[in-house]
Amino acid sequence: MSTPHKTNPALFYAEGEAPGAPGLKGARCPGCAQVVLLQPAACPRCGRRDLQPACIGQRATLGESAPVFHSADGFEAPYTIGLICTEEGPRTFAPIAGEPGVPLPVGQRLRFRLLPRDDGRIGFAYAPEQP
Amino acid sequence: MKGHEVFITGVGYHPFGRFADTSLKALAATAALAALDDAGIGVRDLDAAVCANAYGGLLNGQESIRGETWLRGIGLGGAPVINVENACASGATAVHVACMGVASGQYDTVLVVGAEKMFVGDTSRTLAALANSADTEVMGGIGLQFSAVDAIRVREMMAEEDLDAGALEWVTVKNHSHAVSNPIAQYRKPLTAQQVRDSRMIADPIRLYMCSAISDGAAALVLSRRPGRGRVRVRASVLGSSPWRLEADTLPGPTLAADRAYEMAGVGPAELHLAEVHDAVSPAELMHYRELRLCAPGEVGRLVAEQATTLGGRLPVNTSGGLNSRGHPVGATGVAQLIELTLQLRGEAGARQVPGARMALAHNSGGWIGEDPAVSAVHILESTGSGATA
Repeated sequence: MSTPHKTNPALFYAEGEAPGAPGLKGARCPGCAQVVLLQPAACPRCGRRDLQPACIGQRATLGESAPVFHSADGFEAPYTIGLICTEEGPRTFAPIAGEPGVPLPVGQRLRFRLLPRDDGRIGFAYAPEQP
Repeated sequence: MKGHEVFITGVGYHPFGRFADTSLKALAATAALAALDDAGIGVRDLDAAVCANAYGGLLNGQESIRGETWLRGIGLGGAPVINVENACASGATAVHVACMGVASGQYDTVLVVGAEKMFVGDTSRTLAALANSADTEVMGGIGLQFSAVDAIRVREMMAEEDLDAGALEWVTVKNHSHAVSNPIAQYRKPLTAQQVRDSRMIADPIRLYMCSAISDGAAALVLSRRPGRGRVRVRASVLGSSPWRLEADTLPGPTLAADRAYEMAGVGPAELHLAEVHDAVSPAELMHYRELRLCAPGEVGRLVAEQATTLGGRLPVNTSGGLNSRGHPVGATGVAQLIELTLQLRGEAGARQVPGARMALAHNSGGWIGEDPAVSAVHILESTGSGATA
């Protein structure tokens, strides 16, 4: 059985692709402990070039979010995009899974979720953490 | 600025709008020839040209040598042509490169042309091209349109500044009223707040009439070591990339660029008489008030209440109509901002004239990386001649 393609192969790990997956692709500097999104060639804080890959962002909190009313990338409007703040520090934009058009509060705790897409690929979204 | 003084001695444009039968080459040539005429020089007087465009490859099928193809048609040959691509800040980036060329002494006279042709008969292609102005590994394929990025940032600002939707409508109406007398502008009809409020929601709280539209157009400048007509001098030319936000108090990219520009020019925001800022959605202008230090944090609402940034106010912003009303043919935008400021500093802005204008700032942003625009450019211009009458 072939592994489904991911919408953003450089951005996230699917299950089994890394310890702690699924989650976002990040890197940790062994020198200064800085954690960053993606896997850059050098640490933006201290310049070390041996950053270690890490799965991050399994948990996050929501910053502001906005309901979007124009479909794009296979997302049928309305859907929600939010600024998420990962537990490890990096912040990025991400799709927010929830009731379409129903805003979530700033500070809402979120979990990373893989999201099957209509075109057969695997995407991701952040969903409200269940109590 | 370090090195030789740099002056804007000529401005020219092709109006912004929808021009189905006009090629990208023709748009650029119209603006370039008008700028040469305004400067009173010919193409053979040019030492170099810098050309700005963002989507000519994706939308018009011309890669690699866009500027050479544009300027061949106006008789330029032999002189160096530098092509610049830097998302929505391509125009200001081209001006920055040209300033370096003149200030360094490498060139005496440089033509800057920014042009874009975005109407290609398929709006979805144009929107897809625009979406490429982000790190596509991170922001591609997740349903993220720039309007959503702007909506999220505007929501942050509304919460921090205690603003309501009325402020967003006000700034949209203001800029549309400014564009009425601007011959470059794509939209020259005034809007009412009710019309803005009734337009459809794009990404809450951004409505359709708050968004800059797809546009065709071109803008051009002549930069020179010699003052020329109007004696409009470039006091600062600053270009920055998105900062790494490793500390909680890291300043936003536009603020870092503005601070460097104020330092380079040796002036502060209180000495400005007007500004053109990057309102790809009109409410973004409100964010830029504080990002560019036109007001302190917490004072955006006061500027709105006082209508300080409208024509006749104490610091008019986007007298051209801004991106929202003047139009946003991406490669031309940063150049068009400097055309507006040059006309204002010469006292030639007609019904839009800011009385006594002598010092002005332009802010042009492009793309998105991390938590900031990928590019932030700030220019400060000064009239060293008789300028606008008070």
